[in-house]
Amino acid sequence: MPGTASDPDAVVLRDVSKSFQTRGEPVCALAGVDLTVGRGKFVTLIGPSGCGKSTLLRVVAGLVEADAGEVSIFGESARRACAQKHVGFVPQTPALLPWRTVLDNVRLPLQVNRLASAGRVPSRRPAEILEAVGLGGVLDRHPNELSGGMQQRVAIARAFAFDPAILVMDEPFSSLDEMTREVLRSELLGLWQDRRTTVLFVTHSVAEAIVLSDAVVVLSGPPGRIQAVVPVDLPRPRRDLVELTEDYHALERRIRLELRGAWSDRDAKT
Amino acid sequence: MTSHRSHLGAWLPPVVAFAVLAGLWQLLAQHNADFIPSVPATVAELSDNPALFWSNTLVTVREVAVGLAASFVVAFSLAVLMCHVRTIERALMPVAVVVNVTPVVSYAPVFVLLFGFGSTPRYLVTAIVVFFPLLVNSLAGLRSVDPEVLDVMRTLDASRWEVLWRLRLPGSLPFLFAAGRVCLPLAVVGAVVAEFVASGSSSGLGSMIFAALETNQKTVIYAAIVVLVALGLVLTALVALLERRLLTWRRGGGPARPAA
Repeated sequence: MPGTASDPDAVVLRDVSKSFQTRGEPVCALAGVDLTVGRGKFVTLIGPSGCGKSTLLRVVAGLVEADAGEVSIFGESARRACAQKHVGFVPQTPALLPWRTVLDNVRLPLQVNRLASAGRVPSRRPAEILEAVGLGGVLDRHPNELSGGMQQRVAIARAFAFDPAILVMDEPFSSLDEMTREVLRSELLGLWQDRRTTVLFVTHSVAEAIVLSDAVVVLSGPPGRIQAVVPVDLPRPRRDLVELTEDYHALERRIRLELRGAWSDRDAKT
Repeated sequence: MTSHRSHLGAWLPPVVAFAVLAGLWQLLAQHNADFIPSVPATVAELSDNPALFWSNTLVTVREVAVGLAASFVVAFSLAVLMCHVRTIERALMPVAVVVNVTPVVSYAPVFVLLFGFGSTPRYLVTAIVVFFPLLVNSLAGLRSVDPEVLDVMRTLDASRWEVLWRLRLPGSLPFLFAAGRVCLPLAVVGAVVAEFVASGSSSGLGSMIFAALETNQKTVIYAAIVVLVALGLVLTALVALLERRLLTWRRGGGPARPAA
């Protein structure tokens, strides 16, 4: 695990800005974002589409470089964190290698950039992680033999396989049906509960954000900025029917109001 | 019963079609005996001189194999370079296009002038004929990587070499097999054309046809053509077999058990 007691925060963003060139015009995706994610916290980004959540996530994952501001992942730059294999990325699609079996797909992160993880022994072997998400019986299948939900489980198992210090997940359940989403949510929580890896998670679903997170970050935009940070202090481990509690409903109301604010901000500008 | 019938349903139509074609050939031959040898005469030519046809076939096969292999090594290496260095692609792709649009028959004699009547011009012509499809397909295959997988590899800080070895090379295989299906018959064309131009004293099925044309041995010409057809079919079948062996993951069993 990287860092020392002197940096208790996993992610620190200070005044981060980013614009892209679209048809020759600079379009501002992030405008002065400040965000701190505590070590071992599960933090969700939510906001209207096009508000820059994905850009923010990709900045943290080292896939996009910020134009201005400070990005620190366990006290280092995002690229340095990647170079030391501290970042586990789960994209929107499963993004598996079709010629590899399920097990070999999960082994991939252990096979590349071996120097960075030399001497690091993952807490669980790939087969054990796959077992934990109910894929113990399909280790030698190929991705095209699996359903979408199973493929996404493989992608999540792959991200856990090398014990990254932070998991960065970009709407990983967006293409799944509601029932499968719920099952995958609780499986993800199960994996996370054991390891307490820091997670930064983008979603469109308020329910998903509340059930999973320690804090929900509501973004407005474009250009993306932070509208509100709503702490979620529902007790863990969260039971199946946490959605029926009073506390949950109070949180949902608050987040929906913040989201409405984010939308009207945008409408006022356009 | 049903499987037997569907088996028959798959085999019967092409068999009938080929039988009709052979019948047409025979019919044409009977009315144009001066120009077209009959089917039995052509078959007899083959069965009377199996060694002659076999040795010439081996020569042509060697030209196809050497030309194709050399072309593949150069085309694929170049594609790897182009995939990583845009400037190389910008510089050399137009050159490759120019080579591709130049009719091979037009410069084959130049190679004979340069390299004589040996095997070299034949290898060269065969290699050049298949070069462009090999290059374009290799490049497309190397570039066919899912961008989200590339993102995952970047967050792991995988090196270019690792991305090439673990992602681009296996990902390009389906494209290479598609290229193989196009290029094998094309390579046979290249070899035969080169043999026509550089026939001289050397052997090969193309040279055989060229020589037989001058001495008006019709059955030899037709028999050689039949052998070339068989050669093309065998090579194509070999690629298909290899593809099925290597790309098992593409077949899959369709979406299996439901999730969760």
